[in-house]
Amino acid sequence: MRKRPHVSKGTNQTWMWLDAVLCTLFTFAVAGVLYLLFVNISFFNVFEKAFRDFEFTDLYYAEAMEDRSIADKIVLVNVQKAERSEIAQAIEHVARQQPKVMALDLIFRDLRDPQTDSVLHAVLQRYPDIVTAYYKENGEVHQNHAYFNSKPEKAGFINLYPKANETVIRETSLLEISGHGDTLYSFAAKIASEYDPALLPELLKFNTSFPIDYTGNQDNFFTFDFDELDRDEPIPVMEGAIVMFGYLGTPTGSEFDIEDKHFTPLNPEITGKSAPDMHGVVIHANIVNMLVNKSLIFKLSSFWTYFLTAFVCFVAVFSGLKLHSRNLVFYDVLIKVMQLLFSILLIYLSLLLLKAGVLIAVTPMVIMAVLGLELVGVYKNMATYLQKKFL
Amino acid sequence: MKSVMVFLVLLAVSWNLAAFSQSNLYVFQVKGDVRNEQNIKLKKGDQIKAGSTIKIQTSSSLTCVDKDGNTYINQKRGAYPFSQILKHKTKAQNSVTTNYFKYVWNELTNQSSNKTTIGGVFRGKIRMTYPLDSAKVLVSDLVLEWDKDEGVEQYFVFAKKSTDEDYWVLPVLRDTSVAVSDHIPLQPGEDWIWSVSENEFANPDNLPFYRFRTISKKEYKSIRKANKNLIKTLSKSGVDRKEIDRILLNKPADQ
Repeated sequence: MRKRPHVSKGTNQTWMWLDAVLCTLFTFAVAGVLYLLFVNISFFNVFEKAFRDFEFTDLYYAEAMEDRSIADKIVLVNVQKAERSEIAQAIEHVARQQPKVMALDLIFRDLRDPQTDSVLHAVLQRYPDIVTAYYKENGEVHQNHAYFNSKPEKAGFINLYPKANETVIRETSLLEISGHGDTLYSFAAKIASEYDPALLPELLKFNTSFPIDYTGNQDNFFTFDFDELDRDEPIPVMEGAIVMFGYLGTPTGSEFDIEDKHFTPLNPEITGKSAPDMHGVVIHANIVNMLVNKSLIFKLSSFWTYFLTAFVCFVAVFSGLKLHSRNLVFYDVLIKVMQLLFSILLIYLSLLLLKAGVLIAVTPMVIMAVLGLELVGVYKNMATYLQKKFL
Repeated sequence: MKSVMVFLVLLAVSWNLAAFSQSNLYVFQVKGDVRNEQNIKLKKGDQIKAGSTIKIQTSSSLTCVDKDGNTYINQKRGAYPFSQILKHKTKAQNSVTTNYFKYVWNELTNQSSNKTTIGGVFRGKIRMTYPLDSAKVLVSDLVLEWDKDEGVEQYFVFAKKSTDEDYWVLPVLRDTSVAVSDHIPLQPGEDWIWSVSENEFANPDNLPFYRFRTISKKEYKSIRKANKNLIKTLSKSGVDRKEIDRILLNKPADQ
């Protein structure tokens, strides 16, 4: 029987650190291979598609981890299926309440009935400071007909820019530089800068997309439909506020109406198939509210995300190696418990950071920590085999 | 004595300043009947000025918001001075930590997977209990009643004249009855239909409706007289009281 050489505690620790580094590298190599498999083999592609739209941090909004306040500076008016003349009347009524900004999340692309068109035209001429909308698609600009475009410089783009292949709107872009070098503002940025012109220089810093800090769905805003505007009575909440006209369903808030409705992190179903949850105008209202309250979220850069992912993976692997070195009978069970605890803790920390206004992409960290712990046993077996074979 | 007077004046001034330093509130949601000092019904978007008083009727509630987005919910019947409204500020429910670990626990114990999925349709539930279907009712004191479902806090009563297009929708909070004549102008000789749903946006095509016809006091007296005569005749013929009631209420016989 061969006698085991004496190894001091310090040497053991050094080997464990080295093991942890090597096992982390091994985990990244395995993750890379798995990623290539998922992306390139059509059979696995379904998993990649299923997880593409998933973010653990969506839990913060979907499960209402923090109480949502009511945005009192913004009032939404539901145009439902109203005619242009009715919209014109509503604008007149709202204008009498002296709001600070009026905005139309509507596009009157073509001319229709001359009589109703002229009524709308007259109202838009009377209130030329109304912020209007346009959108870009395949290089083309879709905007109001020239007859309704009283001040084109007051228009903002309503493209919401979810990331490529994603359908959940977590981020937005506030401005773009056109081919002619002009700065084009988004609809929300235009409204916010009309409300507070001092915001304009700050907005110019945002030439990339950034996360939206959602206040809530339409229940967190003052919403009115046309019937409520019919009464010739004052609506004090509109005085000095931002009033946005858009579509909020017929009737207002109907869950079965999905016209101009999109997926957001507030959707109660964070994975799998579900119905869209938020109307476009409410998304714009959330962005405006975020801008006027200056409650922006800082997103961790890709470099720091990769760095933290590697660090978290290393810590997980090191803890796994420590557990493995004790030769416990229940190692396989304990490693699963550890995977669960690591996941719960990481998501918890990411939610606390989000509350503090810092968004980190925690999903890769969770995946790498779980995978790293799973591979500790494989790594140790492989190391023993290689030691026997070559040393 | 002079210094005491000065102190009292200063105290009164500071109290008033404190009362008026609070900015005005805006009405975010009104359920039922809530009125201001001028007895004008409050509606969404109205302003409640510092120092004013509001009156909340039975089964009604008021949600208002201040300039910082804080909400104040008053649900009990009574008159509330402005300072009392402010005392009903909604408190933050739970911290992120509590909410998150509650969520994790529910997920681990599989408590969130109790959703029932059905592949079919049903056309509403008959909750209405009073008045019975096709009843003739006295205009002045009509109260609609229905059964309560477990866990449902709010109901919406849908009612309309059978010849009208639009429905009256009455929200009723934490109650299973509503005095209709307080909300809807009823006249004798009208045919109405009504139903109850927990969904504000319920599709009326999918709701079961009960009917009633409104009658005047004079008509009521004559029906009562006719019924008395009928009861007398049936009793003389040996029909028992239970059976007479069944006949009068137009209920089918027990099997």
